Amino acid sequence: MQKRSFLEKETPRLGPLDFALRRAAGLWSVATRRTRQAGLRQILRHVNRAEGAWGALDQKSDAELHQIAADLRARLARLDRPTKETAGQAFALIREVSARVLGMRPYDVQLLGGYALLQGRLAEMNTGEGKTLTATLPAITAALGGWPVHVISVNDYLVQRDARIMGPLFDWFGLSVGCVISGMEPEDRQAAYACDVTYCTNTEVAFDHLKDRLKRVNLGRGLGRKLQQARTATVQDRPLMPGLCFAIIDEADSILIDEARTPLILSQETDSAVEAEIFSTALDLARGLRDGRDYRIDGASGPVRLTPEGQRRLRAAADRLGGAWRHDEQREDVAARALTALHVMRRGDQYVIRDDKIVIVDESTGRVMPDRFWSDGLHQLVELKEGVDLSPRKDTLAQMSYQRLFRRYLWLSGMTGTAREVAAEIHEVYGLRDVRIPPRRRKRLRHGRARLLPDQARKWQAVAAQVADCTEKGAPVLVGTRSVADSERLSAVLHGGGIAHEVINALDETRESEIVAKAGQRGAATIATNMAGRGTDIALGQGVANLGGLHVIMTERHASGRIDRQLAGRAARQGDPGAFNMVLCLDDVILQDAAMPMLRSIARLALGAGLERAALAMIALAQKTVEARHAAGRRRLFRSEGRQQDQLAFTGESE
Amino acid sequence: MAFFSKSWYRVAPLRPRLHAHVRTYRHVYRGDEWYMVRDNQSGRFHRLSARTHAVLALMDGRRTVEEIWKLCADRMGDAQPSQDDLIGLMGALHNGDLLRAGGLPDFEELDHRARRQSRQELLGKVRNPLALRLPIWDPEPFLRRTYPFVGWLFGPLGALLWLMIVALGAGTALLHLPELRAAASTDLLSRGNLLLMALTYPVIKTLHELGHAYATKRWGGEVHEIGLMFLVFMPVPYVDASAAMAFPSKHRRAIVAAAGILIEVALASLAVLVWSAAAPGLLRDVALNMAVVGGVSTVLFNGNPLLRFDGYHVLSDLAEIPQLGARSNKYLVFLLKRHLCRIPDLESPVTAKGEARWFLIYGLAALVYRLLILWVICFFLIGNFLIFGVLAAVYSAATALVVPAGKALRFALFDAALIGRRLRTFVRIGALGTLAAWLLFFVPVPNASIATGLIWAERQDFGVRSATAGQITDFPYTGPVEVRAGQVLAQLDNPDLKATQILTKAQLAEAQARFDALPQDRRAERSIVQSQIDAGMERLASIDQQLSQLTIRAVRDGLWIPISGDDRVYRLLSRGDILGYLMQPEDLFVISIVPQTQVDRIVRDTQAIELRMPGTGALIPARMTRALPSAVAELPHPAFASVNGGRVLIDPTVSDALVPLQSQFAIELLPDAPLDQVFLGQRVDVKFRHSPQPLAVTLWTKTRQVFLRDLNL
Repeated sequence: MQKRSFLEKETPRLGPLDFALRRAAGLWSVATRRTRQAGLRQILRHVNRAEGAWGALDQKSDAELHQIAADLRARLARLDRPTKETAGQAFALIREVSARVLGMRPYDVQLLGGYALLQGRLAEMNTGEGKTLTATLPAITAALGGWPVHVISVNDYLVQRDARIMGPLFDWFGLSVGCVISGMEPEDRQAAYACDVTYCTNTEVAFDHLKDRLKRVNLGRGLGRKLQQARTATVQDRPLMPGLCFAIIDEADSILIDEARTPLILSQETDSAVEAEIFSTALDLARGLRDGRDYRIDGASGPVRLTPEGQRRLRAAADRLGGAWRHDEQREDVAARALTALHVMRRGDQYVIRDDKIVIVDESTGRVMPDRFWSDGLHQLVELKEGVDLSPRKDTLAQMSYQRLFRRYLWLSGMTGTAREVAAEIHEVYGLRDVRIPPRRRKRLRHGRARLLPDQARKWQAVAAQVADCTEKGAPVLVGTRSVADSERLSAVLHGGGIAHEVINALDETRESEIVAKAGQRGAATIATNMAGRGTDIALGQGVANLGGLHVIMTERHASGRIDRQLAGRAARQGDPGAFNMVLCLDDVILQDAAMPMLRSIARLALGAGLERAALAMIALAQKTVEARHAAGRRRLFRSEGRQQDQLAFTGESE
Repeated sequence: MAFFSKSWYRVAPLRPRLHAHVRTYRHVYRGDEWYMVRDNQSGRFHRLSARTHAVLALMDGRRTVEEIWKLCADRMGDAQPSQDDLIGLMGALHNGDLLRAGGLPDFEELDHRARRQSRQELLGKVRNPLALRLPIWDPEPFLRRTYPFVGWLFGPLGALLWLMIVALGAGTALLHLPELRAAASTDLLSRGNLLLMALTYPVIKTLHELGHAYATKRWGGEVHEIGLMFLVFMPVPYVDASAAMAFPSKHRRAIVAAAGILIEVALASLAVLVWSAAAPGLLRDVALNMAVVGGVSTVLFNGNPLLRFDGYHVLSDLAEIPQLGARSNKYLVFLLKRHLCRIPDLESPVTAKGEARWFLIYGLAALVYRLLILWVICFFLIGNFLIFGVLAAVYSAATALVVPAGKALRFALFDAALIGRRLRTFVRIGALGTLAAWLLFFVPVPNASIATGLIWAERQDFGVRSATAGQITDFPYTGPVEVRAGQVLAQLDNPDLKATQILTKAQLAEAQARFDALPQDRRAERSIVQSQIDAGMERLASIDQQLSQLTIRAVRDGLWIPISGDDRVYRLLSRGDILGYLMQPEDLFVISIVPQTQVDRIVRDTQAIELRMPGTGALIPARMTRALPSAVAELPHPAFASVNGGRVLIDPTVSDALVPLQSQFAIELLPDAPLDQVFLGQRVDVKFRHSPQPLAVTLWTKTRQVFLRDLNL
């Protein structure tokens, strides 16, 4: 059976009826999720049956186990996808080997999770239930059957960590493990993707796929492509990866939902001498415009709109400048972008400056994205604004979205701790049905009272007081901030109060693992952006559990409740105790982002009247509004793709 | 629409070229140049602005799109199309098989496109089953062969002939209007005529369509499709004359669109001529049918620009506003979005001066008309075919009202354009809605019921007649006046009577003399003469009485209403002729007949009653004196019946009495002011003014009345 050619799923073009049906199917899938959990339990029976057939595995020698593994591999290779029986056998074997090699014996709930992944489901597991180990079960099973497996995580740190920790287990089975992180050379990537199991980030796999697609599209279709390939097959032209076969996505909601709207643009550099002048003029012009009179910004990050007065002023300026400035639409377009660079883009929020370069900070993961650039000149405008060297202009070569990428996988599965709100959408777009994996142990997370303060300064004071309170008792504290700038502000306040603490943010990633390792120690205080969200496992120090475990303080509601819950999920892991509470204020970005000034006024009035709960409800409502808006934006993107493809049909096959 | 497109990278390196077979036609609309390009896939035309056309001209297969775009920037300056515009244009041209983007065509894409096309056609049929199109025949060879015989009709000679026929026909129709109307209202609706109608209708419509086809041929267009269209299940022939869209002259386009109507009007005129000349019989009936179908249907349907038939296309061509209807609707939506939702940077569908006004007026008029027609059709359907009618009515109401309303709701709730202004939009809609609801539900509006009344009197003897023949010598009052008993109303003179009096007096004197001369003993003779004297005395007394009757006096107090006419004085009257009416106000009343659906309201809530006098139109207040509690079994007067010009339908199954079809109630009214110049039995309009009530209540009552009356629910 030939599974290793260039493989991916043909994604059909969808019409309006398809969208409606898919939407209904998504809602149906959420409504019927309970039925799937029952089906999952069969795997436990099959695992036990396999153990029964082989006899107690823990009594067998390594050689005997290797022999069993070889038989199993032969059996799996004959199957397209593993059956229940073979999956049960594989899981039983992996459980035993894992216990021997790693010292970790997967629990029943991990077997359930692993089987859900094998079925191509979205497994919803509580934070801190050991998803890394869970992923190895289907990864090894599929890889033994000859499927190239991609285990996809959100960042390089997790990729390397998981590949390192799980490596011995794969080794035992004779499976090669590759690892793709940013900055690797094409040859290394080819080698990594050629492994049986490849750990990689979503960004890397997306761009590598895009590069492969581009090569193929450039070659043309059908016979023409084959002829071309035969003639000019060089290393450079060889695809980086064999195809999109089986993917296990860790933190699936982050990748499939939060990242869905990020366009993946493959670009090449061109010179930008002409543009530099235009951009700096645009910035000068934009600095002369006044908020409210000449332009308006919808929400904190919303689009910038010129008012008629602003348009008039620009026109007057353009008469002086001449040239390209005479064109109304072009001028206003550039001016609006310059205004965005000036007023919407904030240092320490959307970007940081590192080595005299603008580096984008991903909003949901809090990590820097050194290879990412804003398009349409925005990047250059921000560079000019900050006075750093201008990067060359990028010309788009190819573009795609995660929505398109992951729909191309022949076999897709995902796991996350927070899928509830987006399960219907994930099924609608990616066809993944979610299934809830029951927790092994009850969460021992105490939710503290949420607090709301009138402004930022008082919020940081309140947070500092709470941190001091906790550290005095000896309990470790993790404070989550929304942006890099906020983390530094809080750090300054803590310094002022003489409270020892560490900071994890995009400015310095090198000490991340070191700080994380210490964050659970007695009396530790750690400030972190979303970087310390997903996947970060903070182990508790000696005796800390008796003090109530890790205390997580959230200082701002994020763009979605899922990110909040991920942060809360850092506490009370693997059955440990933990606490979580929110300290918010009326200056929080979420209130501006909702673009509903009335919400903020109501919250302010309520807080003034002593109705703290009502005011907090307004902030929760603002978050819901933003969530709904983003969901609508993703749905629009999903639906517009087919339309756009039709419109661009004349340009040939899309990437 | 962004000026820079995110997809530009895919387009920029292409070297597009129009296919060799593509032809463009230059049109002028409202002073602006436009170019029409026919879409080979759908047969529709793309209308390209002069700018866009200039861009198209640059696509020669050698330049890349990037180069073309930069050339545009140099040449057009501010008029340079945006990248999205350009991509949209190329996409549309490609889908219409007009453009090659360079390189090999993508066969998979071609296949996909063809499938989608056919699926859309099918979907279109399913979605609109009330307007199915069934192509039947390619008439091009037939037209080409026969055109030489009829071509002259589409020239000056034909125009002259048409004018003559129509002038003659219209003149004849005007002369015979009452007859024509009577014939149309009686003969046409007879059952036997339906067959005749069914036979003449297709003939007329076929000639109509041939008119379009030949007119298209006249200026070089080709016609490749004739078929049947089912408008509300009624088969109507249609012809695909879209080739005429390419004609650069708006007059020629208008004539092609109008050709059908012109032919029908000419046919109707001819038919009127035949009808007026022919003897009663089949020919005359056929002519009548043709006249009505050709005349009425043309004016009401085909010629009506508010419906999307020929008249609409003529108007659209002459006003130089292509797609007037669709763009009017877009404009209305645009206005709503701009003013109600305050969405900035919207692109207006207005592309030329003066279009905005057209869009607004036409859009609103067509909307109101459509709703009106929908209303009428629904009632007709429900009233005539109950179950099926309700289904059809629900379907048409759904497509006309619910679907747009749903779209609007979805837009208001979910559309991205409203982000950040949804709340304000809802506040504005809410405010407007509240205002409308307040006006509709709370502001009282005067309203009234209208009924027919008849002037009537309890006593019938109020006519003042001459007791003696004579000539009027004095007639002191010319108009109604209050008089007292004994007052002189008129003075007559009768010279004959006076002469007879003198003669009789003389005869009497002679007889007296004779009597006196006779001796006492001639008893027999004396008694004869005595009897003569007695007779003479009697005669004289009678003459005296008659003479005294020449002075006509009021016998009682009352209102004196003299007869009208300029010759009242010196008029000669016979005995018993009417001089006028003397009556007490309470003698005269109005009896009115109101249907059951209205009687309750009239009795319960009438604030004022007005009588509108025919002729003068004077309004006379009145009050209700009596409302009979039960429905009338028979009409109190034939003048109420519809056959006699009244409003009440008569049960046709009862032949010897005027029994109303639906229950009617009689209400008696007393005028508050003297009625001027009235005749007994005269019809008047009676307006029962009710207390003002909100419009919604009135509408609801009216609707209920319609349902009660027409649907017998």
